[in-house]
Amino acid sequence: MNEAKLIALARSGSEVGIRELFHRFWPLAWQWAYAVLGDRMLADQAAQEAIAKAFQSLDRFDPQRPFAPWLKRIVVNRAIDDLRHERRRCSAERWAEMPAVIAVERDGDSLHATFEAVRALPSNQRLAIVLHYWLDFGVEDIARQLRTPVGTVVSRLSRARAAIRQHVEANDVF
Amino acid sequence: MSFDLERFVKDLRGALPYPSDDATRRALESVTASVRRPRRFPRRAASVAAVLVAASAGSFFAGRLTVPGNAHGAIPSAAAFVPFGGAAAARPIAVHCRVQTVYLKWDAGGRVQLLEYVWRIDLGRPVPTGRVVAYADNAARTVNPACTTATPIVPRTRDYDTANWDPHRHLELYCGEDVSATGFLIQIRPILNRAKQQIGNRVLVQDWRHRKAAPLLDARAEGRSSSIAARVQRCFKPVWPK
Repeated sequence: MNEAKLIALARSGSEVGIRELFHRFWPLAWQWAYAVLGDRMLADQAAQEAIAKAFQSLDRFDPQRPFAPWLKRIVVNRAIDDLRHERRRCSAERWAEMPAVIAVERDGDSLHATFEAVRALPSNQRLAIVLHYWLDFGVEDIARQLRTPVGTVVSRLSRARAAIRQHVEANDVF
Repeated sequence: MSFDLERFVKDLRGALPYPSDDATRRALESVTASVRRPRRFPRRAASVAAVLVAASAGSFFAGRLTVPGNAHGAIPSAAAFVPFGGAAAARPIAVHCRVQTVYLKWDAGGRVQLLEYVWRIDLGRPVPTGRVVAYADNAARTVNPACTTATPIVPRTRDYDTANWDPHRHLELYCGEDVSATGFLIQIRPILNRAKQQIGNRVLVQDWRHRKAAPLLDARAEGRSSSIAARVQRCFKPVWPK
């Protein structure tokens, strides 16, 4: 079933439509939240609340447009809000589950060095990198979501790239 | 030396993990419930809930606090109690959560979850909303961002009994809100060994309005010892079918 039909079905209140739409987009929504928050528990919470909010607001969604970018904006907004409350949590390492997956990749060592470099970035630079490279947001979109000037986002990305390059080259894995 | 930075950073996306089955189930329940019932944090008359909670408290006396550990696939494991090596000593977390009923699930691996439940008058029992109020294990402690930070309390001496609790069984317990309907103070305090490594957690649940009284629930679990104390008029073992 194509996406527009599925959304129309879900909007009509069909449980089958709601379940199908949910299962199609939930893993993505969860990964977006996890990418921003870096914590499984927080991602569970943020993604769950964001996807519930999106389904509640289906009436306001334009079915002529793709669903994923709309949902992504809702999830990421919610995740960024939670990130601002991050001081309330005491957690182990950010993205704790990713190194195990990276280790078995073809370019494992290089990827691991890059991953550690991203993880070591200051929080505002790390978020800019995640939004731009992992979640495919443009700099204008990032600026809008973080409520900062475009120039600030560009500057954070630039500094982050320099820091990653420096970190990776210092580890001499290439 | 050449390093295609953008490609490697983008490739990291492939290592993002997937949601757990449990989180998926909770999210689906939340989505279907929210489509049917759009209000957030539904709150029914707290006084009715309190009456129902009190009426159900009798069941607490009838059985032990513990239920069989395999009910949720929890596998007792000594490894779960291994301290988080080299971690800095964690600080206590205290938050105010405006929830109607807190459902404590503490599994044999030392992982504690506080879930939000609401009373369904028509069913005569509390049902999950799908929200996790707080989670703690030996490596991480997190609380729902909807809860607001509070000042940690030093618990008063309890005026009720403390039960022994087998750490190789998991615990499930409800604590209902009182008639003031002001929610709960939830405090999670790490238990540290002499080397300042975390070996367990102590969880306190207290009426927000009566923060200076003895806690409703005071539970602790570490590697070889554990204990739980609860005010039986307000906290009770679930007696409903799963």
